[in-house]
Amino acid sequence: MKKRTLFSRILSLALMLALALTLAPARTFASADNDTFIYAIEGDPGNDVNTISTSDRFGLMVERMVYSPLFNYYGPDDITYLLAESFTLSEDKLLLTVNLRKDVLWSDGVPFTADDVIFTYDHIMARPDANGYDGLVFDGQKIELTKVDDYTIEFRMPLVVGALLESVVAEHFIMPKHIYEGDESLDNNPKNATPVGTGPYTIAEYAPGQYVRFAANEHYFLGKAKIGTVIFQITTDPNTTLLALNKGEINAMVLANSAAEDVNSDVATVYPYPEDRVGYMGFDLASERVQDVNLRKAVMFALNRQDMNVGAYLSDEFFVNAYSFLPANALYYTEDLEKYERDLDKAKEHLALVENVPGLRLAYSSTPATDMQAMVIQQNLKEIGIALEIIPMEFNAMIQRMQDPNNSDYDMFLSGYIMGSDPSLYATLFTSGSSSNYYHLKDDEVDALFAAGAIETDNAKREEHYVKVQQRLADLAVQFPIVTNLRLLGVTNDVGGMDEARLITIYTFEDMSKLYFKED
Amino acid sequence: MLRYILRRVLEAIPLLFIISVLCFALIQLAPFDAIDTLTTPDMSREMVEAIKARYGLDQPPHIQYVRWVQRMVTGDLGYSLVNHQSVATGFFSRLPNTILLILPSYTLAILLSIVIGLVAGANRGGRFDRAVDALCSVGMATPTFWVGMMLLYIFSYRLNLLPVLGMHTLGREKDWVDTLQHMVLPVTVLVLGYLPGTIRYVRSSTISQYREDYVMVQQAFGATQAHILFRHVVKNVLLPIITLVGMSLPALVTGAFITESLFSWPGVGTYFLGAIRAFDYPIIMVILLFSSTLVVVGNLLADVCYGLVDPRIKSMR
Repeated sequence: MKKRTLFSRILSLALMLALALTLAPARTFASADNDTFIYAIEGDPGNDVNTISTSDRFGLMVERMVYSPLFNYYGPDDITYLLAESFTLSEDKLLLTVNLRKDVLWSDGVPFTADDVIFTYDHIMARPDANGYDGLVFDGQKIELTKVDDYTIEFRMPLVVGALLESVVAEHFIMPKHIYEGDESLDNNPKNATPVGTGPYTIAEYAPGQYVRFAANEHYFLGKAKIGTVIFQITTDPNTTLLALNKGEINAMVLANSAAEDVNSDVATVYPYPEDRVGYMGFDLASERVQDVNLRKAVMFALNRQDMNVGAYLSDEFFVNAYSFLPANALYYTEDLEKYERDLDKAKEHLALVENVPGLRLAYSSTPATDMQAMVIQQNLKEIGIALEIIPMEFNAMIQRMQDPNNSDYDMFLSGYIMGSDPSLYATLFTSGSSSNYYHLKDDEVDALFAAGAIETDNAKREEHYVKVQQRLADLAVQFPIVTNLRLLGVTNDVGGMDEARLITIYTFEDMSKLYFKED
Repeated sequence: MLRYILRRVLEAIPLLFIISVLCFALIQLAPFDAIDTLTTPDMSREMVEAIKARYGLDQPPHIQYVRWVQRMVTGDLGYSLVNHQSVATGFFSRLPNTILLILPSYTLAILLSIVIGLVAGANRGGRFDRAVDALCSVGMATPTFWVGMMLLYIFSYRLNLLPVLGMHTLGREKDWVDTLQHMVLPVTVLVLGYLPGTIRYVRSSTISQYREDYVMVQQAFGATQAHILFRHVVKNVLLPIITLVGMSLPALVTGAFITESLFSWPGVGTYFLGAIRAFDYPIIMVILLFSSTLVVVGNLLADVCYGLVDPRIKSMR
C-alpha cells in the first residue's frame, strides 16, 4: 500500500505544480521592459561576425547592427552616406575620392579614420576567399588605396569597374585597426565575440541557439538609438513564432505569404518590401531536348505569369510580374523587349516549326511557391500538347545539378537571384563559361554586350549596351522571368519609425536606431 | 563485475570507430556539401575553390576523415562551417537545455506509465484497461507537432496562460518560475508522446506476470489484489523498464527534434536539425558520436543494473 501512496503523492504533486504554473498570475511574456525590441530570426548568426567570411543572412544582419560601410548604394540617385560624407569620381572613372565623416567614434570611444578603411580593405584583398574579393581584385590587379589625410581616401582602379560604387564601396563593413592590428586574420578571431564597431548597436550578449542581445552604441554617429535593447531571438517554427507575434511576445518576424492573413491586425501590421529578387524559369541548354529556340518560345508563350504568381504569392500586393532578367528597380531596366505575355496562338505557331516535340522535365527546389508555379506550368504546357514531368528537389541538390555542365536530369528549372542594382553584376549569370551560368548559354553577342557595358564610362552608351542585352536574352528565350516578389515583415503596432529605419534587401532594416516605441 | 564492465567498454571502441566511419561516409556520399550553402552565384570559381580550401573540403574524403579524427583525439571538436562558431561551445551550451527538457519529461512519463500500466494490466479487460488501451492507440496515432500546436493555441494564445517561445522570457533569464512556465507545454507534449508506448510496455508485461505461478500461489493464500500488484508483480515488471531507460539515454544528447523546434527550445535537437539542413558536418559528426557513445553506455548501464537487481542474471555470467 505504501508504494501506491508514494506514487499518488508524486503524481498529485506534479499535477499541482503544473496547475500552479499554468494559473500563476497572468503576466506578459513579452520582454521585461518596453525598451526592448525582439526580432525573431530563423537561424543562428554565430559569434564570429566579420567582414571577411560572414555571408549568411543572419550573420550579415548582425554585421550591419555592429559595423558600418562607407555608404549604402541603392542606385545613382539613392545613396545613404554612413562613414563617408561625400565622394567624387574622375572623368575616366578610374579614381574615386571618398571624404570620411570627421565625427565618428568606435564604440570604445577611439576616433575612426582613413587608417581603419585601408586596414580593412587590405585584409580583404589579401584573402581570395574573402567576401567581395572579386570586386576589388581584377586578374591579380588590386585596387590601390591611398590615404590623402585622416579623412580622405583615394581608390585607384586598375580598370573601369561598372558597379564601382556598389561592389567596391558599399558592400564592405569597416573593422577597427586599433583592435585587430597584428592579428593574423579578421575571421575566426576570438575578438569577434565582443566586437568594437561604428554601427548603431553593440553586442551585449550572445547565447548560442537562443539570441543575440544588442545594446545601443553610445557613440553612434547618427545619434544614439531610440530603443535601448534589440534582441535577435532565434526561433525554429514559423507557426509558433506567428503565435508569439500575435501575442506581442516578439516585435517582428518575416512572414510566409500564406501566413500574412493570419496576422492579428490589432497587434501587428504586415509590411511588404522589395528584395529585388528575380524568380524565373530557365532552360538548361545542356539538355538536347531544348536546343530548338522555337520550342523554347512556344513554351514561353504558353505560360501564364499572372496565374503562377497569384497561385504562389496569393495576392497582387505581394508581387510584381517580371519581364527582364533585371529587377524593375535596377539601373537601365527596360520593358521594351519581348515580354512573352500568354498567347496560345503564337505558342502553337512556334510549336508547329518544331520537329518531334519532346516531353519536358522541370526541376525545382520545393517550396509552397515553386510547387504552385510548377503545377501552373504543367497545366499551361498541357494546353499546347507538351507533357511536362515535374521534379521537386532538395535545395542544395538542385544547386549542385545546376552547376553541372553535363547535367541531364532535367530540361527546365525554377530558380531566383538577388544581385543588386548595377546590371554589370548580372554578367556572371549569362556569360559563357561562368559557374553561375545555369542555362549553360554560350552566346557571343551576350558576352560582348556585357563586356562592353562593364568598361563603358559614358552613361548613355552603357544604357544602350544593357538594354540590348536584355532584348537579346529575351530573343534567345533561355530565361522566362516570372516575378519580383516582395518580402513580408510583420511588426507589432507599438513600433514606430518604420519609414526612417527603411526596409532593405538581406539586412531587413537599414538602420534600427531609428525605430522607437510609440507612447500609449 | 569490474572485469565485465571493462570488457564491454573496450568492445565499444571499435564500434564507435565503425559508427564514425559510417556517418562520415554517408555525409560524403550525399550529392552536395556544405560549400553549396556557403557560396553564392556572384562568386567566381577561384573564390569557391579558395573557400573549399579554407575548410579543408578540397581534400579527398579519407584525408578529411583522418584530420577529423586527429582533431577529435586532441579534444578539438572543430568549427561550424556555416557560422564559424566552435562546435564545443555550440554543443555544450545547448546540452543542459536539452537535459532540462528531456529528463523531467522522461522521468514523469516513466512514473505515470508504471502506475497506469500496472493498474490497467491488473484489471485486464476492465473499463479502465479498455479506456487506457483506446487512449494509447489514439496517442500513438497523433503526431507530436499537432498536439503541441493545439496546446499552444489553447493555453498560450487563447487563454494567455503560458508563453509560446523559447526557454526564458528574454530579460528574465535568472527567473526560475519563468523558466518553469516555459517548460510546462514542451514537457507536457513530450510526456504525452512517450506515455502510450511505455504504458503498453508495462501493461503487457504486467499481463504476462499475472500468468505466472507465483501470482496464483499468492491468490491461493488470499493476498489482496494491491498486495500482489505492488509487492510482487511490480518488481518483475520494473526489470524490463531498466532496458527502456537505458535505451533512452541517447535522447539526452540528440534532444527532441520536433518538440524543440515547435517551441524554439534552444536545445541540441534544433542545433542538430539546423546542421543537417546545412550539411554542417563537424556538428553532425560530434552529435552522432556523442549519441552513439550514449547508446553503448546506456546498454552497458542497463546490463549492469540488470545484474545488480536480478541475482539470476548475475549468476549466469
